[in-house]
Amino acid sequence: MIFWKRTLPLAIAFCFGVLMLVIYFVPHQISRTIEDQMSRWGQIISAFALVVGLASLLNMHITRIRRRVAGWGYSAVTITALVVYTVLGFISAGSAKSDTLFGWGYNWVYVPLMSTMFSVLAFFIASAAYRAFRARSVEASILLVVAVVVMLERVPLGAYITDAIPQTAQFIMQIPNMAARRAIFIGIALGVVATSLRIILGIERAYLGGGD
Amino acid sequence: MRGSTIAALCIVALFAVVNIYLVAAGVLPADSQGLGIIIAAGLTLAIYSFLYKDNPFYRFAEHLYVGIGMGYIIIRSYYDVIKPKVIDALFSPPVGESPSLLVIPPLFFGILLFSRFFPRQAWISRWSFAFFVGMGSGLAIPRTVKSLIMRQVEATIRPVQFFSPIGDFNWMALATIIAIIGVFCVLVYFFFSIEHRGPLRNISKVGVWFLMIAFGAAFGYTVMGRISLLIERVQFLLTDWLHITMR
Amino acid sequence: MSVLEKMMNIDRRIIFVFVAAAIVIPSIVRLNLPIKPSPMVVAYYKAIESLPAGSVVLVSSDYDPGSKAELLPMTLATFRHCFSRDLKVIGMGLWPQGIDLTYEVLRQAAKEYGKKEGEDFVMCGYKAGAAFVIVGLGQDLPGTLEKDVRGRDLKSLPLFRKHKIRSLRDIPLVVSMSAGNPGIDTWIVYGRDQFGFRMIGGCTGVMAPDFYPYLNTGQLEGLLGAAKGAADYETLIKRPGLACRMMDPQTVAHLVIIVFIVIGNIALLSSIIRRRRKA
Repeated sequence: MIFWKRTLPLAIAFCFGVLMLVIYFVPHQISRTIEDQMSRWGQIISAFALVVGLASLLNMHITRIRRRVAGWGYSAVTITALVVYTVLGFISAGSAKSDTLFGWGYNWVYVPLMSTMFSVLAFFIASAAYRAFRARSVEASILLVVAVVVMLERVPLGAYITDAIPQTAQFIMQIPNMAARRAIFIGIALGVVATSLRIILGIERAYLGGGD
Repeated sequence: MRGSTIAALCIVALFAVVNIYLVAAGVLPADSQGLGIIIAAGLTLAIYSFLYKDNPFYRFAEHLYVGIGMGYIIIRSYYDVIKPKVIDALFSPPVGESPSLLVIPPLFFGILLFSRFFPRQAWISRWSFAFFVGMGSGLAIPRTVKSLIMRQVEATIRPVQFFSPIGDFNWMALATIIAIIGVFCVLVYFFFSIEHRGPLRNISKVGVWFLMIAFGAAFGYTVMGRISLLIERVQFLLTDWLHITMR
Repeated sequence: MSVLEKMMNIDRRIIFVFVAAAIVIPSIVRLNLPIKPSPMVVAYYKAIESLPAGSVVLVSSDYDPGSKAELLPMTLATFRHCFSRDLKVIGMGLWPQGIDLTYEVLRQAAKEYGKKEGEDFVMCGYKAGAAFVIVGLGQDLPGTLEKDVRGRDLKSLPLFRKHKIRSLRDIPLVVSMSAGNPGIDTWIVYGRDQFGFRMIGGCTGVMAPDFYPYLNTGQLEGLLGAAKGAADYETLIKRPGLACRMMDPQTVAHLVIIVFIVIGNIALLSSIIRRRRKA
C-alpha cells in the first residue's frame, strides 16, 4: 500500500519534473511537441483543481448548514446564489452578454460586489496610516518620507507644485526601490529553484498532504 | 424594537424612497438596467455599512458575493476550458479529425482530484498533485534561473561608464553604483545563515534602509491603488445612480 | 493629555468620514489639474506606436472586478490605441473573473473604430493553468486558445488565416493587464524570455513597484502603474476618460492622508516632549 500512497506519487513527480526540465534544453521538434502536450494536460488539470477548490468551499458551507452553526443562514445565501447563478450560466451557455440573466448578474451584482469589497480597504489604509505611521526610528522616518513623496508624485498635484517631486520619485523608484526589489527577486528565485528541486527529488513532500 | 433595528429600517425606507423618486422622475430607466443600477447601489451601500459596524446587510452581501463568484468561476472553467479541451475534443472533434485520446490522461488525473472528498480514498488525489506539482517544478527551474537570476544579476554587474565618449561626467553612473550597493546590501541582509556582526551588521543595516525605501514606495502606490477603487465606486453612486456629478 | 494626544486615539469612523468627503466633494467640484505622463507610460505608448499597421497584439486580461477601477480604463485605452493604429488584437485571460469586463470594453473600442470581430479582433476567453498556458501558446497558439468566446474555431477566423499566427514567436507585442499572480511576471518568466516577444503591461498600484527590475533589464518595456498610469496614458492618446476623472478626488484623498500622517507625527512628537519634560 505504501507503494501506491507514497512511492508512486513521488515517482510521478520525479519523472514529469525531470522531463519538463530536460526538454527545455533539447531544441528538437519532439521536445516542442511534448512541451505543448504537457501544457495542455496542465491546463485541463488546473481547471479541475479550480472546481475542486470551489467544491471544497461549498462543502464547508453545507456543513455549516447541517450543523446549524451561528450564522448558518448566510451559508444558505451563498449556496442559493451559487446554484441559481450556475444554472443561469448553463442556460445562457456561458455567455455573459447584457441581454442574458447571467450577464445581468455579472454586471449588476458580481462586479459591484467585488469592486466594493476591495474598495473598503481604502478607509482602513487611511486609518492605519494615521494610527501607525510614526517616525519612531531612522528606518521608519525613511519609509515615511519616501511614502509622502511617492503619494504626491502619484497625483497631478506633485508635478503641479514642482518638477522636483516627480523627478525625485522617479529616482526613488528606478534606483533604490529597483535595487531592493531585485535583491528580493533573486532571493525568491533561489528559493523557488531550491524548493522545485526538493519536490522533484522527493525531499519536499508537503504537497502530498500528510498521512503515510 | 431595538434602536439599531429602527435605524436600519429607516435607512432601507430612505433607500426605497430615493429609488422610487429616481425612477418616477425618469432619472433611472424603468427597465432591467435601471433595476440593475438600483441593486448595485444597494449592494454597494450594504458593503460600506460595515464601516459603521458589522451588520446583517453586510453579511448578506458578502455571502452573496462568495456564492455568485463561485458560480461564475465554475461557468468560465467549464465553457472556456473543460468543454473545448475535453468534451469537444473527445465527443465533437473538428470536421475531418478523430477524437483526441490524449485528453484522457489529464481527464483521469482531474477526476482523481475529487477523491479528496472521501477521507479513506483521499490518498488517490496525490497522484494528480504529484503530476501537477512535478510538472510545474520542472517548468519553473530553468525559466526562473534565466529570468529572475541570470537576467537580474547580469543587469547589476554591467560595466559602469563614468565618462561619455566626449569626456562629460555621466551622473547616471552614480545611480548605477547606488543600485549595485543596494542589491548587494539587501542580499546580505537576507543571508540569515551567519550572524550579522561587525561589518556585516553595518552592510545589513544599509540593506534595511534600501528596504524601507522600497516599502515606503510600496505604501505610496498602495494608497493610490486602494483610493482609486473607492473613487470608482463613489463615482458610480454619484453619477450612475444619483446623477449628481458634473462631468 | 493634550488635544493632539487625544486625537491619536480618535474613533476611526471619523477618519472614514474625512476620507469619504475627500472623494465625494472633488467628484462633484472639479479641480482639472494638468496631467504630466511619466517616463514608463511614455515607453508603453511608444511600444504600441512603434508597431507597423496590421501587426498583431495579444492582450491578456489577468485581473478581476476587484481591480476594475485601475485596470479597466487602461485596458480600454490600450484597445483604443491599438485600433487607432490599425493593429489587430487577440484577447484572452489567465484569470476567469475579468474576461467579460475586458470583452465588453474590447467591443466598445472596436465599435468606436469600426473594427470587425474575427477580422480585426478576437476574444478567446479564460485559459486555466497560467504557466502551462503561456508555454502552450509558445508552441501552438491556435491549439492552446482553440476557440473564441462565441465558440468559433480560431483557425477558421480571417485574423488567424491572414496573419498565419502559429505561436507567441509570431506575436510582436504582448500586453498583460495584471492584478496579481499569474500576471506580468508569469508572462515574462514563462513567455517573454523563452519566445522573444516584446512585453508591456498595466498593473495595480499594489504591484507597480515590484516591476521596476524588469523595466531596468528591458524585460518589460513600459508599464502603466495604477490609476495615474491609466490617466497618463489616456492623456497621451488624447482620449481622457474615467482615469483622468479620478485624478481630482485622488489628489484630495492623498492630501488628506498626508495631513493625517503629519498630525499623527506631530502628536507623537508632542507626547515625547511632554514625557521628557516630566522626566
